[in-house]
Amino acid sequence: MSVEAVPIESAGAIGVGQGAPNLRREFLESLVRQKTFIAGAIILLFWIFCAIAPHAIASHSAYTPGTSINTGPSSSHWFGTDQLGRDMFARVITGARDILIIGPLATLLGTIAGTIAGLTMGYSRIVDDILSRVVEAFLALPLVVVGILGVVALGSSNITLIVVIGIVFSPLIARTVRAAVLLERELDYVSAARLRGETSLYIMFVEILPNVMAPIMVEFTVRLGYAVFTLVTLSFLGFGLEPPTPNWGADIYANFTVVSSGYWWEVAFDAGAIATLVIAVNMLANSIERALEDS
Amino acid sequence: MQLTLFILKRIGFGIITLFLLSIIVFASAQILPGDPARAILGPLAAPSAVKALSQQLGTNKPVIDQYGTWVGHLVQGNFGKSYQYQSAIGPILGKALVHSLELAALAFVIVVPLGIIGGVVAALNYGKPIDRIISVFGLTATVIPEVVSGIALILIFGLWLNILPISASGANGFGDTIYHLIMPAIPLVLILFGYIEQMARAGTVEALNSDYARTATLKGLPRGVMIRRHVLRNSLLPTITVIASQTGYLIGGLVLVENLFRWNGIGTLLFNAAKDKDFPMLEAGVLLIGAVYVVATLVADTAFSLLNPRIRYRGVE
Repeated sequence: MSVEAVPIESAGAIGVGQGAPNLRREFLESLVRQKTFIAGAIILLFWIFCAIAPHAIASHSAYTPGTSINTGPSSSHWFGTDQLGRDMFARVITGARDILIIGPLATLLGTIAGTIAGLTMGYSRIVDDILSRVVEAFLALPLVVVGILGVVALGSSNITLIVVIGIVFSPLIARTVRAAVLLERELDYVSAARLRGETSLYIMFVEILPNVMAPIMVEFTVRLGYAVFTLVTLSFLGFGLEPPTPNWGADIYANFTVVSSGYWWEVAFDAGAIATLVIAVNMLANSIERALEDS
Repeated sequence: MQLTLFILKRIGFGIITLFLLSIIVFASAQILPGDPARAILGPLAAPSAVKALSQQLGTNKPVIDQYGTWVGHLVQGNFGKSYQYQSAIGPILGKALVHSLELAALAFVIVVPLGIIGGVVAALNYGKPIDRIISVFGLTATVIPEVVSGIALILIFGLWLNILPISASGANGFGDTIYHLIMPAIPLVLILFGYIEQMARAGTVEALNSDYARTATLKGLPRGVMIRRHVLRNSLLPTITVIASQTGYLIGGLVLVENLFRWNGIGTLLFNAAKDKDFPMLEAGVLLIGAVYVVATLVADTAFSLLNPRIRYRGVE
């Protein structure tokens, strides 16, 4: 029912991933045939490269203040300098690092927790009734509000951001996994395993889990996009990392007050960087979803 | 009869949701290490002063008692006293909510017709370039954070073209308020557009392919009449639910947009409460947001079942 509901429903309908190797090859082939996948992958790889080796691209330091403050883009400072005279180009390039560490880790945590919860909810009716209500209560709050609440309660650090975003995502992922498990539960192979006398844990994780990997994978990439979205928003609000670490959201907040003086470059390039990363992740998510439908 | 039962069940679920939410909110404020009185007075305050304030705030009582007192007061409409303003929370929260509603209403007034028209136009041109352009635009607009679209708007319309005010504060009177709120509303509009457009498009495509649409065409109705009377009536139903269920997102978006454009709504209030560790304010604000969401969902479900009798007979899931 929330904002994120649209891609999930279609993901739940995917019934592939039976583990056959030719299906997997078909999936990969259909993936690389898509232009959106290639474009998204190139942009994401560029930002990953920036995160790993920012000095290979930016010659200035992202941290050292300079004497020329608030200067516009020029040949020596491609993206200009900020209020402390730091090179904006270096800050934008280096700013990819924290987002690309925290975002995937938070999404992974949420996916693992959500998958476990979703498997249990789909498999056991009592757990389902109880957890569904808790999930609903969580979903009544916007992501950003839960994020703020979490950061206030736990203090702001990278670990907090990972835990908070992971916890916020897990009910959403649990819902998708639950829907997929409900379909699988009725199939013969589950009854067969039950008649063989397998334990519930075995059936959930060894029998059902491999067959619901497709929606989980789609969910992971979709969530990754939202993780970047949430991180940027929280760091803009000042609930992210502490300065002087370059951070797109926090830098926009820090430089936002001088925009009315005409120093547009101090926020424009950060905003552009966020846009390219978010769009790239969503292109990947869309093409993975389409490839799963095709294969 | 059946409808009353349906609504009663929904209200019951809503109350359970709010109850759980109150526990989550209360618990997260309890996780915070240290004593609230110490946090308010600072590290240099005398122990006796801290103890007196704890007594006054009731934070020295057992957690269960504190929760009971808090919920008991909430039910009576007493939201408690804000640490930062040193006055009752209710009126402050009410004023902020009105401001936020103004902004949200403007965003909805812009996005609902736009989204529905966009979706219907896309569906009627299913598979054609115009369908793809609208859908790709909607999908892209939906995933871009409000920070990015907000900054882009500020730079383009506020700085370079200089036709709209960068800050929304200081708006005076109805027309002036709308003038100040146009720019803050657009980031919300962009995000919501994609959802409403996709829903309207999917509903219209489904209705166009239905048996009754085919019958209407075969009995010789003009296409325009067929679309108006048979397709749109059915296709816009799910869209209504989507619109109401976006309230939850909308409030999250407000936190950011209000801060970016300096508008004193509930988003700014929550943000400041979080920054200043004003827990009574934060708890009340978060719970209010949850309540708004629960009520909006309830209204959406009820409206949906009133407009679509099939749902009523399917029962409550």
